[in-house]
Amino acid sequence: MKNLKISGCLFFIAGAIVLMGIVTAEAFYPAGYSTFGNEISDLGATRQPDSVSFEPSSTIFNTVMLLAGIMVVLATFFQHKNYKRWLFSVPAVLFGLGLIGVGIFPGNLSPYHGMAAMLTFLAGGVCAITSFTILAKPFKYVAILFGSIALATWFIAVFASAYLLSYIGIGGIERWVAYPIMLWLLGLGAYQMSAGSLKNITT
Amino acid sequence: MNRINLAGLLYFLASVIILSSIITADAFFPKEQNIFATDLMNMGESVQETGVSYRPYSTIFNIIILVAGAMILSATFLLRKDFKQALLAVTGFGFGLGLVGLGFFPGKMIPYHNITAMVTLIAGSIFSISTFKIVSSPFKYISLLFGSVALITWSVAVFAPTSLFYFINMGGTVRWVAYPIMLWLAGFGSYLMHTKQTELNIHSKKPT
Repeated sequence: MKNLKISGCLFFIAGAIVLMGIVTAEAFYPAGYSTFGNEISDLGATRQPDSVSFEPSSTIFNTVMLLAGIMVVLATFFQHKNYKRWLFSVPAVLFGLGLIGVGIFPGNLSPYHGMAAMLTFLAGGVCAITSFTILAKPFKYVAILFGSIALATWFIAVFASAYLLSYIGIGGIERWVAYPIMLWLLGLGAYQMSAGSLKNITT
Repeated sequence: MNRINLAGLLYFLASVIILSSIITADAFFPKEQNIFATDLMNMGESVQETGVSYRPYSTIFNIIILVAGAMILSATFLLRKDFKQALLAVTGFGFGLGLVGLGFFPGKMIPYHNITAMVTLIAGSIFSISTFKIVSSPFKYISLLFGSVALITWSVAVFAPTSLFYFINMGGTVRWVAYPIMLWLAGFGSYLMHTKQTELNIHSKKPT
């Protein structure tokens, strides 16, 4: 029980600081940043050539990614002590390592940033789906749905990007991959923190 | 799936569709506009007034907010007898009604929009704080923290706006009120989806 509370708290905080970190870095970014035309990673640094980065957006983004990655790896360790489901734990650790990689290698460091981002998106989508092995209804279906949305969007973006690019841009597409994963992560955290009953209520 | 699980699912989905609608509306927002210079709730309206936008973000935003409000009202109705303390039910209903109002009254409909926005943000943050008494740790402290962050940011934005607007603009400030509430709501929903299923659930190989 204690392990699940710890892992739940870490998963929840990881999801929350990533989302709040992105919003804050966007707010600090100079005018011209667009959630349509800019990738999330541009908050850390834009791609080469002519890479640019702006403070404090860059530091905020890179730090929260690094911290969130460490939290996900630690949380996976704690929850694995309880569930022992490798099908979830392996992609979850890879997801955490991907986040750490995104934090260490900003967008200007090719190809490392691209590799870390791909690992984050793919492993994140897969572990959201495989988390059904440790969840009960109805959240297990939510997890499968959110992981599927993230993976499907990622595949469309990679193999048939023209279908989405003109509507929501590269920024919108990337957010439709990242946000479902982060919202699932946040939900998984709170789910694991639940002690199984509410206090002071009748059921 | 019991009644509490269903309420949890509704809370979770309400939060998710609001956050998804914001990022989608942001993506549809014309590139020449800085979204963080604009109030989150007025995002569609302010551009419509200038005649610049032809994109559907305003409609997306208003419909989603309306639906999410109805979901929160339904979830709170399901839990009305379980919330022994009136503050929980009152703030839960207030939060849902505020969102429904925001869906009905876009930013140009003053003062109705402002009233519903204020009700939403205050009731939402107090709802988060007041669940402190019914959820267990560590989530009780997270509820307290997220509700307090939203309430404090709102208070600073109202009484000393320049101290925040200078750094993160109006859009960033409003997001620092709305996002903590929405993230907590997603968490509270997930928490409820696991309620009445202890961690010794059938999926656990090694109960502790």
